[in-house]
Amino acid sequence: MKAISKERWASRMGLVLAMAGNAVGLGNFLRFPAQAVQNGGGAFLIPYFVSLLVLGLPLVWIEWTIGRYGGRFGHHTTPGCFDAMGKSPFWKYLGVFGLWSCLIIAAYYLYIESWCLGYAGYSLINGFADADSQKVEAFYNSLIGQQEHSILAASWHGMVLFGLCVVLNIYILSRGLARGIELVSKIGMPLLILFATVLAVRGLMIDPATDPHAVASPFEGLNFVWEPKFDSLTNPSVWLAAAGQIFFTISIGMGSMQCYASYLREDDDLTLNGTTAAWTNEFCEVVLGGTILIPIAVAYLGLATVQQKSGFGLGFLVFPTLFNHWGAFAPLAGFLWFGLLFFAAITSSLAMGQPIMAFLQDEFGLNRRQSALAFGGMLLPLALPVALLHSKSYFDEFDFWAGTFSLVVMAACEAILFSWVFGVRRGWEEMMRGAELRVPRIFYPIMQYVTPLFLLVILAASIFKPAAGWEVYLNGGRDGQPPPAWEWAPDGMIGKLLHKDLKLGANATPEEIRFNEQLKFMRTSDRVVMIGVFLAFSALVSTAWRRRSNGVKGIP
Amino acid sequence: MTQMAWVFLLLSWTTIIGCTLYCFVKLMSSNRRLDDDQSPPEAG
Repeated sequence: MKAISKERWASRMGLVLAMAGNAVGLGNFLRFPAQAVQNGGGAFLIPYFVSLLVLGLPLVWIEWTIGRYGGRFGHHTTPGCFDAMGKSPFWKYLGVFGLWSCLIIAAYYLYIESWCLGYAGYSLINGFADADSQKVEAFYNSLIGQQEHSILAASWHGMVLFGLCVVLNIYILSRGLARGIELVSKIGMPLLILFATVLAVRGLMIDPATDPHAVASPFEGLNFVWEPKFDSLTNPSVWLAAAGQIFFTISIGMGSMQCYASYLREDDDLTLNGTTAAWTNEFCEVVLGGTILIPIAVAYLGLATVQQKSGFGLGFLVFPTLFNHWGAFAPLAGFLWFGLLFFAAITSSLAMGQPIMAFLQDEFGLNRRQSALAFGGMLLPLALPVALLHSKSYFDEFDFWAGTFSLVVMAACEAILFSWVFGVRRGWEEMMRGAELRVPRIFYPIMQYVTPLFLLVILAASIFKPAAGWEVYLNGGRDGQPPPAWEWAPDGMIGKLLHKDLKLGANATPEEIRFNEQLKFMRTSDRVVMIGVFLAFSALVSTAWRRRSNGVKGIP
Repeated sequence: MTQMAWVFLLLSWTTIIGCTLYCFVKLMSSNRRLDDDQSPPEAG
């Protein structure tokens, strides 16, 4: 018989903060405000909250239940958890998505994390003093080493910071759950909330009457985020965007949540813990995330300029110049902004490393230090091309296939596993064992029918995505015109497969054509790498189960 | 800010802050801890 891992969370608060830290990421502060603005302002919050109720919270409870159930059998990762719940050996291979996506996402997420660290440090030494947008862009390019029409993008500064972040993550992970991840979350999450609150309050205090650099009131920006545009509610794309935002903000479908929950005991509460972590994430996203980026940017740049910028561009390329209007507070403000992004990133990246380590510990008997080093060893060959090549090659591909598409696939699998394979009645009983928060009975049919159906619709919509938008075809055209000929959207699965986002204009130069061909080659090689990683994990799962059936002890 | 923007902001913030506080108060007032003595879990 196999020994059970003795690792446990030290406290409920630590577990909740670690789970919230897993969910709160860069998207809370950079993606949410941009999504709200693009999809109907305040009215976006209607489909957003509906999605939270029928998709977000049910999936949080499902993932916690799957994790805690798997933990009873000594499994802390999705292959084992799925195997324990499913009736067919096939399920453990679907669970491989929970390892695969964690490793692939970590490979580029840690890179962004290292930028936040670099920006935070540079802000603190007042490196952005009197910097205009060109100087900030030069700093950004010095970090990523990117040049126009060059497939290579190496930067020593960037590589050193990236290496530092990888080592830091491995060190924290090697300290274990309670002394590593939990400790960092207990420090990082309160600091993140404090930093964000200071920036939000200072941002709302900008007064165009007394601040000569301000061109508008920050409340104009807040109005821009919150003014409801009710006609957007009839647009299916808005509903899909809201569902997508809920989905990605809570970090569903990655395998991290199941891993963290698997260290609970059989009768430990999961409904209250899980719901608290989910609402903490919502607080960070809607209340804090919606009050910093857009209001400050609108106050100094005006509405028209902000409408043309994305959340990422504003956050990394424009914000450091705006803080300069805050006088002596500028270096600290920059540090607070990039510091909070760093804390948001590191608490998420740790959650990506833990499942890989847990898998190696559970199935191959590695200790913490060995498994942390093995994680680093697995990460390195994937992270290097991310850091050394143009972001439109490995970086973008990893982000789309592992950071977007596979999460929906994985979540759809687990919603079906929970409700239809394990059985919603058994699943509900398992979920409510030890529950300190009574989940209303209405969620029973929601988890059985609405959540899986909603996920299948999102999955279908992300595969078959038309460039003109679904609403044009559903409404039979736009502005009295018939719908255009079908063309795949560049950010849909089929469009991505066909490299629709690498389309060249009619006047493309030979240099652009050559660069485009290089990108296509790199993207294809990247897909081969990703398939290889998936097969390698599948082989490890197969070996581990063979060892289990032969009675080889996993944990010494 | 328009009245409708204020209404949506305040409604959303009240809901989110209210739910977050409710959960944390319930969590912190609970007597159950993760390190309570329990029998070790069954091996699978």
